[in-house]
Amino acid sequence: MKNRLRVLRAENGWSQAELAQRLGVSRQAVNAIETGKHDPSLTLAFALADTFGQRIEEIFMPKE
Amino acid sequence: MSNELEKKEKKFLIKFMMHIAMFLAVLGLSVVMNETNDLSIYSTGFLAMSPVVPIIFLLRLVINHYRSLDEYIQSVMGESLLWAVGVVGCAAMAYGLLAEMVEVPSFSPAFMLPAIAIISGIAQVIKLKGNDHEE
Repeated sequence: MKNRLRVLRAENGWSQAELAQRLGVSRQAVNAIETGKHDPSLTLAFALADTFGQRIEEIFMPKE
Repeated sequence: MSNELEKKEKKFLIKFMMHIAMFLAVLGLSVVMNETNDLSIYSTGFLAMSPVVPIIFLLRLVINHYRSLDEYIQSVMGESLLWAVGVVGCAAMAYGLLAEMVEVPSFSPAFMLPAIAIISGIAQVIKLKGNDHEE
């Protein structure tokens, strides 16, 4: 799954650690999602969408 | 890592070390008591197995800690454990099959759990290494 996490994080001026703190997960988890090594659960995807004030499909999209 | 996670991690490490210290204390006590006293076979057996008790508590601590981790770290830990069990299991099987055919030096199964823990830890470090730097 592709995602716009890095772009959205940069727009908000947050580091991976800051975003991780907001989500209550480890920095490694944020890094793994950003690099596509880990696809988040629905719960975490909703938390991400809520944090950035966007819908899940605006952040995550399937790989073509 | 967030402050809350760091605190949780520190608390876990302290508890982990306390359990290891308890294990070493019980191990030392059982060895000393078995060597200095002429105990019955049941008492000797009980003392020999007694260090497993703190390890059971340690296992409970690790499982509770695992449940408190985020989904990514849980998946890394799970995969690392699979690798460790697979490597140690294959090594034990190879040893067992070899022992059927030729004379091999004896090996205590007591080292299997520490071996699984060490290999699992190494696998975790390798898996998490790629996520160390912020891009």
